[in-house]
Amino acid sequence: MSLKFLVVDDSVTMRRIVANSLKGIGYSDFLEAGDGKEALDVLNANADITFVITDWNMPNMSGLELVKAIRAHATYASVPILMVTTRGVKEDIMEALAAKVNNYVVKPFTPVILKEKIEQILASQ
Amino acid sequence: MNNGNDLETLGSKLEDLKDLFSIGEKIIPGIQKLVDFIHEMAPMLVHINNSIEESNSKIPKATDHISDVTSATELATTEILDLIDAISASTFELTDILTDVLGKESESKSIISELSKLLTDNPKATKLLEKLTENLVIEDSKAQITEILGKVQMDATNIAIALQVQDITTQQLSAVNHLIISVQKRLSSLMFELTDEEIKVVDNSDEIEVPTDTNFDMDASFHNRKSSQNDVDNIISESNNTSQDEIDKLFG
Repeated sequence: MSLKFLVVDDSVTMRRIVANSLKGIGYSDFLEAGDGKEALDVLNANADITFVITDWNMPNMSGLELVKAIRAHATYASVPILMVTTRGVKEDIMEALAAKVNNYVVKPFTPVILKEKIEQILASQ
Repeated sequence: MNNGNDLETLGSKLEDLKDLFSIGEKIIPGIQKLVDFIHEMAPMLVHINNSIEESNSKIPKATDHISDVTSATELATTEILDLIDAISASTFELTDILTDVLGKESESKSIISELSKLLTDNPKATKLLEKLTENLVIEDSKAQITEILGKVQMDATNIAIALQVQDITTQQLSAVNHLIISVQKRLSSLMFELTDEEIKVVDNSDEIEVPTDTNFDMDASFHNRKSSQNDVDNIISESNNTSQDEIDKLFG
């Protein structure tokens, strides 16, 4: 199955690192967004996006708000979401799970961890 | 009789006056001390006020500096990532070149082998061809070259991964900026004007807006990624044993 990723992060550096990591593990089809609002616009304009990787702390619309908006949307409610964030405390992780993220990665991450989590999500679909 | 009563009243009033003077004698040094203290305090209050004003005026500059640092590190990080991409591209290019050279070496070996068969009656030519074959050693170094290229590629990846520190420090600096602006707002509410008659509070804090969009993690840190991810995985694993209803209840 060919995957098309949407990488959402307000940091240009992080978007690039995630994108490079994806390329390194064999996924070269991806789009980018700088915050939750922009991500929703990109999702609306690209129905073929099959996987979302999002940061939590972003301006305008946070990653958590984005997750809730996606899950509440009729068209792409079931798209897999991986949260990649610096927030590693239990309450945050539980809150993200309550919002129905599929998995959770703390920064700094390695491409190996990213690959492992993507594969875990895909296997559970 | 009236005169007697008047004198008695006068005597009583004089006694009261005497008591008053007596109290006054005790109080006056205290009042004097208070007056002296206020006189001493006035320049100190002015000094405090000036210090608050000076500190307050420096705060926007400090927050600007922090924002500049963030922008500069982001720019530098982007340049490093460009270089890493260039290094990665070069290693892939070298791998392609190696494959190409190895193909040509293999072809050369085949040609030399065929030539040897054609020149069996010429010992000198055979000797030269053997010498030529001995010089075709790239195949022998293939594993070593591939290992070095792989290591360069791995190092480049690790440098890129370490650059996540830029995002983490940006969040820490944003948290510091937020804190500084909050302090500035508090300091502005402590400003006052000291006149001869009164101390008038001058609260300028309404002019300072503390950003409500806190798009940073105050606790962001660049620590051991493996143990951190293990902790997260353990929490997720535990939560898998918790029903979604229970998780939902926690967050309304």
